[in-house]
Amino acid sequence: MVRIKTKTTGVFCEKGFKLPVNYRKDAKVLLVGLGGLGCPTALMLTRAGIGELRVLDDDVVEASNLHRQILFSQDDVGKDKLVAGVAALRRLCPDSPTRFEPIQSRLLPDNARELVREVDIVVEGSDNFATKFLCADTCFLEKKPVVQGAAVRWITTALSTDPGGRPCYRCLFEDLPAQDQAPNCAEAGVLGSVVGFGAALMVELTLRVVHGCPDYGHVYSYDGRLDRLRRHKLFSRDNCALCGHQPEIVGIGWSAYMGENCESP
Amino acid sequence: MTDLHIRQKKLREIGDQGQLILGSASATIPAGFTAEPTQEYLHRSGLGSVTLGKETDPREFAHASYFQFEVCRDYAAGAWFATQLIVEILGLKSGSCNAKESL
Repeated sequence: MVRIKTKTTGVFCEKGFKLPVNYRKDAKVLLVGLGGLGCPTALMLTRAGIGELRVLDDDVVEASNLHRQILFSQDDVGKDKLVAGVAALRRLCPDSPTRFEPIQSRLLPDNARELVREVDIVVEGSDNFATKFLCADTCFLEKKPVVQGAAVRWITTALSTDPGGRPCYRCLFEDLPAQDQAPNCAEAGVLGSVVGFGAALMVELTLRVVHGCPDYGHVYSYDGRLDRLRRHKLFSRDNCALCGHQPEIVGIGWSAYMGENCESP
Repeated sequence: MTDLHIRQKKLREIGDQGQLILGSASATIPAGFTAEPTQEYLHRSGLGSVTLGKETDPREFAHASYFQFEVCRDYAAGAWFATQLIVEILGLKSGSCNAKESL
């Protein structure tokens, strides 16, 4: 006899089974990077009262960070981002039930799978493509939903990928770009409030996953100068290296990510 | 002081000149839930002075339909307002950005 397992606490919606309504109380979120996108993301998730927030960063606060990294003040320059950030979150949201677990590290091929395995959803707002691809690949292999965001100049984008992994981040960007092709916000510049808008999009996508009404596979992009917000459907590619019919990426190795784009560990 | 705004001065639409314009500008922003992120970002962008005006409803913000959760909608409304204010102060809406400097 086949026994069909049902969750009695969930609700049905037109797209199928929803997660339990009170899921958010115990959702564990891994936040990769406490930078321009990470700071407001952490603030909003704390305000929303997410269960546990694991923050991953190993950087210190710099003066050039301050125009967009809203958790830090001029007094924090030179301090660890995690120490200053968690203190600011506790100060700004004293009533929030969120537990913080700061992890003083980068997301590296060595620790990625373990870190991702222990959480319900990964939110990524790092500043380099190596971490972005590593995050996308690890979440695919560990079957975890992931929300990824980026911001450069006047433009910010956000994408959430479902645990099944189609369409994925690599359907959008095939592989790590060469060093000189990818704009990064240290060289190209970025406006602080545009980053804030991107973080709001990321948290919206995250909370939708947590509340069981996800919006997987859509790329949100916002251009602050033209004031244009777009939502594009992302199509999966059959020859995608990660989620295609003949995937090339079946494990996490060092060589694929530790190119010139990423600092040595 | 120079280091603080270096990342936004790298934008060719802002540059050193735009940063000076921002520094001497003042703005009135809507009070209410959106005020906190608006103020935060405008202050951090180096805007001269910010005063609070009358309260507005974040539901009226142009992209509100994209947001289901209040916490995101209010923050997005604040960030959106700050962005549009900066665009307006710098005169980028009319397409009169400092094109000469970008060349």
